[in-house]
Amino acid sequence: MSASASAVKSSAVMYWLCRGVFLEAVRRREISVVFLFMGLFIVGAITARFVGAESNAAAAFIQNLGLSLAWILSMIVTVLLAGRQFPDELEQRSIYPLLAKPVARRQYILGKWLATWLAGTATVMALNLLALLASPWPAGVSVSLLVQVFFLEMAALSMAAAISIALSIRLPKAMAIVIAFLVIFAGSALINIIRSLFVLNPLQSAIEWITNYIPGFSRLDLVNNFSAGEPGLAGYDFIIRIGYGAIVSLFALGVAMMLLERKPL
Amino acid sequence: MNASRQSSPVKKIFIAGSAFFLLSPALLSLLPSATTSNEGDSPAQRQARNASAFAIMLGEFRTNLGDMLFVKTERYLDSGVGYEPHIDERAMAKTGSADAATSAGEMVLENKLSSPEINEALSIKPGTVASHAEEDNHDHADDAASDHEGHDHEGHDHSDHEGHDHDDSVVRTLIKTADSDFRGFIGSLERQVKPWRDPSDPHQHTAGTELLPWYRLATLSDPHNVRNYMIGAWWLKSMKTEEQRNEALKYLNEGVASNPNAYELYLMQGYVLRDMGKLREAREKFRVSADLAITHRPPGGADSTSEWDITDDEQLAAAMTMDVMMTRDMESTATAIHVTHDYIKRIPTEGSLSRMLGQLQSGN
Amino acid sequence: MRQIWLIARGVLLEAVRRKEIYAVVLLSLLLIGGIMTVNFFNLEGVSKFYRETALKIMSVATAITTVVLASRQLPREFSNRTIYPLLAKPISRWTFLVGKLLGVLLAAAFCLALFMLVFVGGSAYLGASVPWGLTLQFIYLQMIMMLILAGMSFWLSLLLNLDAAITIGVLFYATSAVITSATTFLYDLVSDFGRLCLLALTYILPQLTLFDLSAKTVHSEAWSPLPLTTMLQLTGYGLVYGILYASLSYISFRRRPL
Repeated sequence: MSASASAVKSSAVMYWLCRGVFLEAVRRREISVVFLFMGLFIVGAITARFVGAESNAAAAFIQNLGLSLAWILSMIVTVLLAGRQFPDELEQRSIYPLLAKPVARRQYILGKWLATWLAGTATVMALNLLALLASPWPAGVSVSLLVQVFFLEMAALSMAAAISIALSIRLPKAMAIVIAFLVIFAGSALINIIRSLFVLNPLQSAIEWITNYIPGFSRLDLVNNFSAGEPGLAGYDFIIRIGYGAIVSLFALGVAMMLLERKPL
Repeated sequence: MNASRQSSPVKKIFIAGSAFFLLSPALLSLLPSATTSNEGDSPAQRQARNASAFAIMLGEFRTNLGDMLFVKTERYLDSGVGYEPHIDERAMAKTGSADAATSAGEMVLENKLSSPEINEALSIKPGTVASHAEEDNHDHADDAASDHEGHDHEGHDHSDHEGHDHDDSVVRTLIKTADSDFRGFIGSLERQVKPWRDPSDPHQHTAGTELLPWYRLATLSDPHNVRNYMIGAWWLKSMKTEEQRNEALKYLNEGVASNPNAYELYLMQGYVLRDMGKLREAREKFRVSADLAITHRPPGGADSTSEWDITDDEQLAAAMTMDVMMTRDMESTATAIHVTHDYIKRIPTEGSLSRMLGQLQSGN
Repeated sequence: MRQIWLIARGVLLEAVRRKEIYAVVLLSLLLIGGIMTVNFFNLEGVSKFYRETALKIMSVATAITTVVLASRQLPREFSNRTIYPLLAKPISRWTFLVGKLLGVLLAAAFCLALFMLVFVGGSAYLGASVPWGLTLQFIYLQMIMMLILAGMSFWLSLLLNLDAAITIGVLFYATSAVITSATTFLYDLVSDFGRLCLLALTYILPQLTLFDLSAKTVHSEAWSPLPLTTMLQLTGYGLVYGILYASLSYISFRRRPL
């Protein structure tokens, strides 16, 4: 009875936290801004589709542009949303009544992550759908890879949300968001640069191992591979990438929970 | 008491997350390397990357940072003028003509890296291999031109690439010409603000040494982009100082460490070592390059798969030729004939080997 | 005029006191310094690489500073309620707006001046020459770009919340060159109606890429400074958009209930 009550309470907390984040995202018009940008693309894509651009190259170009925009814009939404949850609630002091209720800090983190991840996922799926509907369908692309692209994007958004929340617990909001963007959009380049500095060095293997701890989002972004007509990933390859996303998310959430537990409020 | 009970699940999550995260590099090591075009450097993978919407739109904003910096170097060679990226590398490979490529940089690569060195290798006369190290200029002889149709380099001096004009076929600029630009005065302003030349004007290639930091940065950001190692090393080698040759060698060693199967890097190592007068080591590198290339070459040769094109065939031919000719100069013609027979046994379809054998047997 | 100057001075002093500009300059310096610590094959006299990275970082950092600074001017006045005593004085909203805009531009100029000191110092250290003609034109055109960005940010901050205004401002700056390239690329692919739309888009959106003279400055050995007529045309083009956005901001500001 007590376990069941606790479960209900936990899911209720999650529900209210998610609802709050969604309402805030809509109220602050960020989602509208993103859809405004996508709207510009759609107008262009539909214009191109119905008034001339019909070659396979043009179709691939338009579809690639739409899917790439969906990826970038949903990442931006997720990071902005996740990175400011805790700092804003702290600044507005709305976190105190929340934590004064029987809401554990871990539940708070988990709820915020789930909410921002779901918001990001909803955004990317909606944008992908719009991109696919507005764009012509090029020949030779793999539907199975497209499905994998969607799942990998969800894994990447989960990582982005968890990392942004973890960073925002201790760092100022702006800094947390900037660092999250750097990790997402420049992390893979950073990994390569660090590794190259240690090529032919006795520490090379160690550095390669260590740099794998920098989250590499490009491993989860296969939009260009899809547009290039590559086949779907092998099952184990896909599972490893998804597993990687899950592990990084779990670790970032663990760090966020630990930091919040120890933070005097 | 209550607090410690509350924090217990957090600790568990943190410990579990940390443990999995600590082991995540092992998980990543299970990923097959370069399985996608984001990661590889084969012609097909490069083509796929550079055909992305952003690559086409921006010209220089390739999806892979290594490629992006590579395009930056194209701009440098043309004093900042942006030419359209290539549309079909393979078409160029098939015809051998620069007309099929629309990228100035690709042509530079074709003109300056592949063909001259290959021409050089295929046109070596008896006794010239060893002494070549001391030469400052090298004109490419004509008799090998027929081995790769469409590459028009007869008598073309490649010793000094700085400041000379290429009468290349028309490659469209990213910023359109006045008569094809719909933007009116905005287009006119852009042509004045940005480096721009009429596409029908010959390309004015400028000093390549300014490019070298970009190659360094390109390979730092993407150590699997073999092209950047090749071109960077070529520019260093062309500076003709001992220090820069050593730097070229170090750079190539680094490239080999990251790409042990990139046979073209061993070929370039061979050229650099030969320039340094280290002939035995050079021949060893040419041999390694040829062996590796033969291992990777599909039975049908160029165009039988997207992974292997005519440039690969040319580079393989160059490695084998250098090995054979250096063997002849350093040991004997009989040993060189033996080496040639060995290569013919492994790739009987390579026509240049039979011609080379004929030349060796006739004593030319 | 004096009122405009007083408001502008307030914005500038606040920007200088808040030390954010110094943080941006310091961060950019660390970035430039970090890149320069890489050993580029022991080469000497290689200046284009330094010039390009430094100019690009300067340009991006100044643009972001301008967008952030401009976007938060008006919302903060409202949220801190400092706008009420100000407007109670005989200051028109137009004067207030122009003063704020001028203040943001002065802060951007201060930021660029700091960068220029570093740029010239770095060039001297590397033994590289500074192409003064093109460099000064580069800075002038950057300032016109900042005018457009600041005007646009004012307007966006009155239409949207602060975060959204900053995001759109920065995104527009970052994608402006892409939009220009995309319209040019797509033009060949579409029919007459599509072309009309693209033409309209080209003239409706400010083409920020026209104010980026960095490429010619980097390859200065091959290019001369722009002729005066071109500079005047660019100034006129920039002013049209600057005034347009300032006017749109004024209209939104006037309609906003206090």
